[in-house]
Amino acid sequence: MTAAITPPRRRPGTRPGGGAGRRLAAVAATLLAVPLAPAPAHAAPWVVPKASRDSGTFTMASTSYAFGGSDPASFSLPLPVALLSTTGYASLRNTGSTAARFSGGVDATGVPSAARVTLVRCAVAFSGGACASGQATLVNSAALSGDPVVAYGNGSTLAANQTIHLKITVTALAVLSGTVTLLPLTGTLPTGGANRTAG
Amino acid sequence: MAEKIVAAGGRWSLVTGWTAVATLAAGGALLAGGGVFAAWTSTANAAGGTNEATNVGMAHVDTNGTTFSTGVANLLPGDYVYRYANLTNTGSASEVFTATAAGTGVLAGAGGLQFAVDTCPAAWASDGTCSGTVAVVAATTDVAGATPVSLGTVAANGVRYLRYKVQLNGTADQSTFQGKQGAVNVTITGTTASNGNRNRTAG
Repeated sequence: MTAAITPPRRRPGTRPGGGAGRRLAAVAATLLAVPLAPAPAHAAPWVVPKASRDSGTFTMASTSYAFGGSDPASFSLPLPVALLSTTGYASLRNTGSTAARFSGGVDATGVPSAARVTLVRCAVAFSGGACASGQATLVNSAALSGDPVVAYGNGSTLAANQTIHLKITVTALAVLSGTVTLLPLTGTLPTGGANRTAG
Repeated sequence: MAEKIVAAGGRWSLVTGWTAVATLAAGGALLAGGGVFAAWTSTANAAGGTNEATNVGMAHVDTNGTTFSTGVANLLPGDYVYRYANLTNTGSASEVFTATAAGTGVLAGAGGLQFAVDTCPAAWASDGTCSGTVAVVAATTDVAGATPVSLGTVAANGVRYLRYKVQLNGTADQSTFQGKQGAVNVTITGTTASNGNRNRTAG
């Protein structure tokens, strides 16, 4: 501290130099006190060690199906030449573990453009062309040129492992030839919403 | 400090004032420098009580017959599972806990697995019911992009009764997710509720 200090002017009734001395003592006390004051704390919250938990694996169900025959993915019906109407039979099974809806297109190759297709579903195997139980028409004389789409569940789902039987009829005003194919299917799962806590 | 500085003859003078300045400054310098304030030798020795720093900790334990690490197969859209856990503050101070969910696998992508957290003021019953009012801590949201969820403040030795819900989105895109797998990781973090700097004179 280098500032010059001049004797203070004495106020009436005070002792010479007494006020200045007290002020200086106060300054000294302040200078002494400053270094003794605690430094401001910069505390931070304490962090607890993390707990990390991994769930098990969750898997979404999937759909699968199989056509009866050599190719489980599709079904083909060859059309012999020189016929105006041809009928074939197929079966479709839901091979998935859950119910599902299936749909797929009908493709025609080498078939007259005016040819039409009818697809009938039956709950049991056809016998002599007749369905004894659970018959439903899935496609009713649709133009093959439009590649009609078949909803095999006919508006409902096929239960797991359920098999349906199909009768395909192709007709034309002209002589038939070529091949009609039930294309690979799209499977759609139903909405669940079940509590699966127990598995 | 009870001592009083009095100038010779009982009078304050400029000289005695400067003397006081010099004395106190010198003493302060000694003290600041780590020396001994030898002029003040009178001491009163009072033994303080034991001061103990707080400790922090947590326990996150499966309960109610469920195991967090158990998965489920063949989920349909909208299907869900509950996993129960007790989060215990094992520390000696209140702690604020946060849960962060993250997913792995295709099924944990956007529009797939979802995540929610509820709490019950008492332990969840074995059938999953709550004897009190269920509080929604985090509403159902996609695991993908989920933000941290505050589990609130838990007092020392307090327990938060948690119920995790993992759900497959009811509108999950089937062409994307059929047959796919995913998992959820939950990380709990905790910090002391107070930063300290409190007046603990009263305890």
